[in-house]
Amino acid sequence: MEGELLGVLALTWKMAVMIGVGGLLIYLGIAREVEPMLLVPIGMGIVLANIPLGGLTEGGGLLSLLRQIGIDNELFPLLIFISVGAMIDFGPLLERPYTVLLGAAAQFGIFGTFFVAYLLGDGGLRLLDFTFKDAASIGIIGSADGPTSIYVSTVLGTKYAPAIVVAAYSYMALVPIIQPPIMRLLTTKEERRVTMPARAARVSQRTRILFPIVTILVVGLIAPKATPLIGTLMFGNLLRESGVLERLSNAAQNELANIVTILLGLTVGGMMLAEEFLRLETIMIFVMGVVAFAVGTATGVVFGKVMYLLSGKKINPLIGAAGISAFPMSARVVQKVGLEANPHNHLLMHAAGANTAGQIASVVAGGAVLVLVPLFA
Amino acid sequence: MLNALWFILAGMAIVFATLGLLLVVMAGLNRLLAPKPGAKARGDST
Repeated sequence: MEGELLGVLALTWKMAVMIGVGGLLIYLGIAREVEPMLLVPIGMGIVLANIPLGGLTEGGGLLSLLRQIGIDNELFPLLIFISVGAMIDFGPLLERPYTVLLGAAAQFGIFGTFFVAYLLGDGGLRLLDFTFKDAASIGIIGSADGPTSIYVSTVLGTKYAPAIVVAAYSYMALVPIIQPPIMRLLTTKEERRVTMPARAARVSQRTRILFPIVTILVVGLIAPKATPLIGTLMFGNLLRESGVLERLSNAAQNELANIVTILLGLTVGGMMLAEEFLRLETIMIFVMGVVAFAVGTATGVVFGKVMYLLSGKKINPLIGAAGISAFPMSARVVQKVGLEANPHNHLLMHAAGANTAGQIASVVAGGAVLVLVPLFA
Repeated sequence: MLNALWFILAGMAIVFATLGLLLVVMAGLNRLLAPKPGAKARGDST
């Protein structure tokens, strides 16, 4: 009897809080349908990891094993990227190549957030235990891209990787809440009303097939540290566009994506151990997650305004907000805010161009961070 | 803090340089491999 009760006796208030957090995520996923594919496995992982004496996070335990084989060696994010690549249609980007620059501009969310985190830590105020490397890892939340956040924070070896990953995934669900006020604040009604043509120049099948290969070469040769991410993303896309690998493309989009999502969610949740997670720095990482998404959205919209002026008021600056990646959520947000200003204005395909550009740009930015941190830290 | 500012500048420079080159490449591909008039390629989104 005493042995059976030992778990209860070993339960600390921090573990109880974490089990509550896990329960909350499971509730949000099932009852509110907020990103259920992510939040339910993450929530269950948190619950499992924080049951005292359960042994799942100790050497040889399931969650420990999954962390070793899937996170510590960056396997899971790269496998997810094959799936993501197979799901993404880069057609809207290829039809409107200029939208790639909006994706680039929105990556300032990463670097702006890095600056704030570094200022609060070792870079100036020393209020928080954030080194240069930690701050760069926190900034990567601004990529609005879960796999990139996992990859970069793991490679940099920050102790805050679990919080960063959870923040990156959590805020994905909050894009429809975070983005619209910033978009409205930074644009006039006249700008939001700008109508853009729904149709664009056609793109040949040969272009679609060559695009992933050429992108690997361009990104890999300039930012080599991004090669694993861009390589797997574009390999997945080549499966999709080749026209002869339908079975593999479907497997990447369905079976592979589903299996890795289950394992990744459980593992990420399993990294949220009470003693390591419940501290001021973790709370501040979540606060800075909002900063990251907000700054990325703002710089994307501001760059959109520059394009609006340079194009003779033909480009709707709202589409810049989709440059933060968060595919395809932010493109839908742009469409919604655009329709509010002008019921006949359909910005979805333009925003999808910026959105897919954001996906590539976030990978490039992640590679840039990995290259630059050892040089400047 | 100066190293942080250089880090930001260098990071954004890498992002813009890479995506700027990608823009040129995409424009080039679209021009060189434009679909033939009347031909409908598989997967065309328009």
